[in-house]
Amino acid sequence: MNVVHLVAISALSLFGIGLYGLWSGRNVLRWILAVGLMETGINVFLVLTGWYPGARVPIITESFSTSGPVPFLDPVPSALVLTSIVIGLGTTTLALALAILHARSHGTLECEADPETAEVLE
Amino acid sequence: MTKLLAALVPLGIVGMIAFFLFTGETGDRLFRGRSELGDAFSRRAVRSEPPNRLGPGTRGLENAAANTVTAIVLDYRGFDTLGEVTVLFAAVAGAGLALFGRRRRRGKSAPGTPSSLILTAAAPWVFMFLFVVGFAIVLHGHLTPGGGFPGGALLAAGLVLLMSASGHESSARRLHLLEGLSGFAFVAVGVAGLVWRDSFLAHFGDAGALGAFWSAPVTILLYLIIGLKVSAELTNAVRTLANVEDPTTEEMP
Amino acid sequence: MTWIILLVCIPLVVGAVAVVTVRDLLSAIILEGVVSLSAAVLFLVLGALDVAITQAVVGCGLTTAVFLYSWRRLPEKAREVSHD
Repeated sequence: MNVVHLVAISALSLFGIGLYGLWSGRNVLRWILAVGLMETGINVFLVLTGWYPGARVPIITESFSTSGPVPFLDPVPSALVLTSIVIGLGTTTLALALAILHARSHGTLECEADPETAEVLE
Repeated sequence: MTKLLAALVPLGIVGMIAFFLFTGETGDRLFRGRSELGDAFSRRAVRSEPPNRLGPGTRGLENAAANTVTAIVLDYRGFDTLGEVTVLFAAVAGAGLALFGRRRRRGKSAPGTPSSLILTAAAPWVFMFLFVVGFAIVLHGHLTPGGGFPGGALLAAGLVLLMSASGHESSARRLHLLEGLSGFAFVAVGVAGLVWRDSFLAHFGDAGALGAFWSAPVTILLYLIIGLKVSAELTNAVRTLANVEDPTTEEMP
Repeated sequence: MTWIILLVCIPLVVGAVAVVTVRDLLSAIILEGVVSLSAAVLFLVLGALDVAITQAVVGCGLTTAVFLYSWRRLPEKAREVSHD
């Protein structure tokens, strides 16, 4: 059980806590916060897959030999997470816009099951 | 769903994933830390004859960005960046459409209660700092950590600070124009790469010396475009949520 | 080095538990900013600097601002504490 395992467990538990938050209530704003937690957890996990003890920042500041492995943090998942974080803000904005619409039309942030839909499903 | 069940299910999912990761081969391969792909990108081994030693001042590389993540975001996975820009635009446009429909935006974001003294006194200075640092991060994306995304977000944060302190906003029309022009410019640079070199978003021009400011010209250009686009988009995103008012019949000034 | 990494994971998980259990919605929004901040410090310690700057600015700057702006635009009745 080394450092990588512990950080991976915290990242996954962040995902699990966010998932629990989706089930623990009916407040739409809490759902959006919980999904944000899940996104953060997955982003940490993704960056972690490129890390090993002794990994250096992936910027070429001194000369190194290209014949062997390069001691960098893996830049590929880091690049993917970079765009993922900015997109997370965009989707959060869209979700909040819909939450505001819901609150204005229903008067509350709570989200009840629609009785008409429930009748149709049965 | 009861609280106990709601707590057990995520625990079960996380436990299963952790079990598969920490025992057996999947975990070892996943957490090895190094990948051949990352190594190849780090070493510019996609060239046919990689140089033996890579360091500041090396010339003749196909992409002389010292920041490896920048090289991946803009050159080797540049198409994903175009997709990201599209998704961000769609999300913010969707938020504006959901809240305002086809009506013009109403209302100002001026707060009902006046802003606190700290905010109004400090906002111009902090904005100046954020503006300068944001542009510096955007322009030096190929040398230092950062680039268009964090720099653009920092610029947007500065503009949002100004908006929340004084209620004066930068013109929405100009920001929308900037956003649209930047998106168009990104695709135009891609097509230029198609015309000059052999594929869309290929980098053209001499890459220069690794570590110099005027190296990797297409990288600087693309990150400048992305920085402007991201800053305009994120500012519009915050402004959309700040401007929600009950509809009136006034024209937008 | 490793103890810094483990030290940063503590506010990450504790803050996440706090976000889903706190009654007050405003506190939950601020705590989400705290979780983003500790994630940004974790990225910094791991060596992914671009990701760290982005997470810090977007996660604990712009996301909190967006949440607070939308909070302000909610009707009065909708801001009450949720009961399960």
